[in-house]
Amino acid sequence: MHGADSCGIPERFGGDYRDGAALLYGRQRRRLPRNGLIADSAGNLYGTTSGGGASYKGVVFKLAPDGTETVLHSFPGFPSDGNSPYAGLIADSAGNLYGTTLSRDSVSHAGVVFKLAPNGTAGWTETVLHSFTGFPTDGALPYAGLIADSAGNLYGATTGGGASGQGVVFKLAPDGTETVLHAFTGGSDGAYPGVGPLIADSAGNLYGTTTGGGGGPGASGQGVVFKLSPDGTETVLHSFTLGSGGGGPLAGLIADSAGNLYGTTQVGGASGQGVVFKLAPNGTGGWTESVLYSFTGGSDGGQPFYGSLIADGAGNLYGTTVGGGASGAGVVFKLSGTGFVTTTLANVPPSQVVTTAYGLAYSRVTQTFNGTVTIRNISSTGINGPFQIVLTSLSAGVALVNATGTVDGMPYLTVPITSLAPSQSATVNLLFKNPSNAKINFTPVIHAGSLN
Amino acid sequence: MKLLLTVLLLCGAWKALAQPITYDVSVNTSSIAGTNGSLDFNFNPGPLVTQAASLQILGFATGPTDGTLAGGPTLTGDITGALPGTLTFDNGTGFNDYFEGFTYGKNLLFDVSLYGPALSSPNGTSTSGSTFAFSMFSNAAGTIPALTTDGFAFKVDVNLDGTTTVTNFASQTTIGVVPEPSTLALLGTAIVLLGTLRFRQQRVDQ
Repeated sequence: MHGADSCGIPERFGGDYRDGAALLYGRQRRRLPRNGLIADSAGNLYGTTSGGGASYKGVVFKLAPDGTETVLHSFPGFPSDGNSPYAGLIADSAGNLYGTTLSRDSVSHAGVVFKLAPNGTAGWTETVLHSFTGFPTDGALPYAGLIADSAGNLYGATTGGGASGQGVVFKLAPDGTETVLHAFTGGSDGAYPGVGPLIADSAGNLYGTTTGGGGGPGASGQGVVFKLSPDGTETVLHSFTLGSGGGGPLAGLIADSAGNLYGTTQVGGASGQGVVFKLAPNGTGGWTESVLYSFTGGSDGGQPFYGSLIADGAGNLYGTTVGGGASGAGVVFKLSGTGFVTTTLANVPPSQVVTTAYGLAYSRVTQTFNGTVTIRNISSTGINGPFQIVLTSLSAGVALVNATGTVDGMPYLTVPITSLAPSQSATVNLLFKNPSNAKINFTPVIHAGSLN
Repeated sequence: MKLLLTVLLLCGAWKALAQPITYDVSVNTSSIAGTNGSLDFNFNPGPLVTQAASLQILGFATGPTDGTLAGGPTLTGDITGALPGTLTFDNGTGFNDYFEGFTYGKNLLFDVSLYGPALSSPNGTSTSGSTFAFSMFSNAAGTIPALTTDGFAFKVDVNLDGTTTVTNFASQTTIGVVPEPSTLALLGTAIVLLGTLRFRQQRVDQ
């Protein structure tokens, strides 16, 4: 699984959000950074502010390694543009930036999806890819950021709009066609998707949270964790009850290599100050929630709000709260012993093993793309197996049907040979499900040894 | 004799240059003659770095003996044309497919011609080939395979060195390489030269 990198900055971090913004930029003219940053290979950081700028309606900015800030775009708002970008950005391989604005100053105040493209010496050109119209046929208020698949489709969630006015999950194709994948009803399926970006697995399933709805108590429920399959079928993986298990998750999710989901709730738990939770598949199609930590609102912090968790390679989780701490203004926390699984691969370098493949023949009977992948030892010495061909960066929406298993959310195939002599080759079959008939791509990583 | 060897070597060298590779395909469909089925042709790249390649379906025979096309084909991806005319496939997208209903006759005849940079000038850096696959079905929806268990009658792999490999899955299918016109012309020239040399040798001997 993979999701957009999001290091959330709590709205009131530092005690006063206006000061917090000013601290980041050294001035108050551009303010209210609401979400995480992304970086390019040169070390430049890119982000958004929901206020400030030429029209005081937010900007997209670039921060060079030397601290020089450049405003790439200042939102003028209605009628030609969006207003108040709350979410962070994502970028494609060409350096184009994509994001959302919360409003458009129009009657519906429904927000837009925008693209910022570098145009050489002339700066950056902004294009509004989609203007949300809100209830009843479209989403509104895209607080959450975007994620993208390899075909260039963008996916996101809106907190409002849809047939029931309870928010939607949407897909935006490269040609600008928007599809509402699911409109929340406010019932057991959830209501008001959170502000964290969705995450996706290798099969193209989307995962996210809602702050309301579900089967919990209260008029609007206490939120859910949901899964949305590529055909738009929604499954509630967990419904919060506000009790010890937490309630009202606002941030997004992260996933480990075993397929477990991790997130936070802003309220509930033993002290009502929110929790860090883990959702694990129970092997029979269901999911089991466990509370990893319940905040007290004291020095340990309270009310984890915007930012999704992040993990290191040792199983530690990191996050932020907007409450608690020494000044009551929130904390940055580290949670160890979470069981967050990461796997270290013993990669065989490309200088020793080359990987090749044939074309993928489509079978109408099995509706699969069928091919083979071959590894060949090009070194002068034998290499001990068994070998695992890990399909990294597999195209979104594509599933390897005959995968031996997954590692860090990536499917792998076992080549069951004890060793590979110099010049020796070994071939295994590839069998892909690819409902959208997208170009299937992956980057092979060869692991010598067993997994699991 | 040296001249003859030179000509024959040139013949081989020319063939190795940018000539398409063409296969003559014949399927004995007498066991399913009269069945309202369907045909599927697809030419897809591999999942790694793939060099450009193209393919044409030529000389598709129709008639009481060879079968009848239903019309209204479904084209997906980098493909132009319609049977019984020429179909041209490129491998620029992930799924390049031609699907059409077909009432089988006693034979199914067509040619497959492969060409393009992946065959004429392999770049040595690609890690995936491309594959052409031909499938036959005994229903119009293309869900019930004909002659084989999965519908695949044969496939042609474009290898990374510019050669091709044919895998035949159906015993009813016969696939042969069609010599290119230039190859035939060179072969003819070689035969003429050989005859001339032998004639001269006979005159010298006399």
